[in-house]
Amino acid sequence: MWKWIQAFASPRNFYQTSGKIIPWLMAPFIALSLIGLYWSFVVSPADYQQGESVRIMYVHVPAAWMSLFIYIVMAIASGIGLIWQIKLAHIVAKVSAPVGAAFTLLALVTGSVWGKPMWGTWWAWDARLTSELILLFLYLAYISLHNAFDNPKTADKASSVLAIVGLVNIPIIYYSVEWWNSLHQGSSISTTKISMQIDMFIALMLISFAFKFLYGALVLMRARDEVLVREQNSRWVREIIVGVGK
Amino acid sequence: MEFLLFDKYTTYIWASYLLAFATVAILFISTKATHKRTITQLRIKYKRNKK
Repeated sequence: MWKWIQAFASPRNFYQTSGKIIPWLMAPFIALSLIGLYWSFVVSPADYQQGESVRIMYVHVPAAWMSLFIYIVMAIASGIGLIWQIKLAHIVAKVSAPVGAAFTLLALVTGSVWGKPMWGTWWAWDARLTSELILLFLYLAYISLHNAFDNPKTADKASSVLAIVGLVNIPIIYYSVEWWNSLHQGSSISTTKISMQIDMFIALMLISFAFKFLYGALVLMRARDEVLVREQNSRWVREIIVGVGK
Repeated sequence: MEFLLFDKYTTYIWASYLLAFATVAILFISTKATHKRTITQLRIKYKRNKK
């Protein structure tokens, strides 16, 4: 297993293998998105309390889950990069950051759009909202810090430390509704209980998995680009680029 | 088309889905554009080095 990981993690092998995987991630993303939209708009019923506005949740909740998931992936990849000096792990962390920031912004904005008709305000300095906003700042700080260095190795090391330290915000976001008296509703899904109508749950899961496949495809596409930039002095990159031009 | 109208929340719901679509589109297009730019820049660099 370790040998396979090492072989796949070599930039050249990664570039060649990942190119074949991307269509296999994009296809389920498109299929799940279309079925998910149908479920969200047509199959899923209105909520007995929130009414039709519950449909915003099918975008907001998966986006919020992605914001946490991507940050965890980024921090783990940063840790692997620091400990085992695997270049590809640093690349995965770097290319994940803009995608994570985009999903965090989407979660915040759709939450705000839902909050206006439900809470009567676009924004409240609530524990869940504030900690999610801090997550967005962490993503932006990671991107800024990485761009501040000319040397990619120094940039990787500095930003990895920030990603790992920022991991402390993840349990704060998750448990904020329990730890503080929050305006934000608690979780409707846990490992033991699902307290929502089944079609609502299916709609949530479909969009959630669609976003996961999209993230996988985007990370591979962006990582391939980063590999080309970092390995531009290698012979194999020259062969590929000259080959593309023919 | 009536099923696409959601009571008094129509604007909020469509705004959310349009934002989600825009986010996905921007992420995808920017990724493709960056890759295209990288290929072009590297090709120019290799051509220049060859001379």
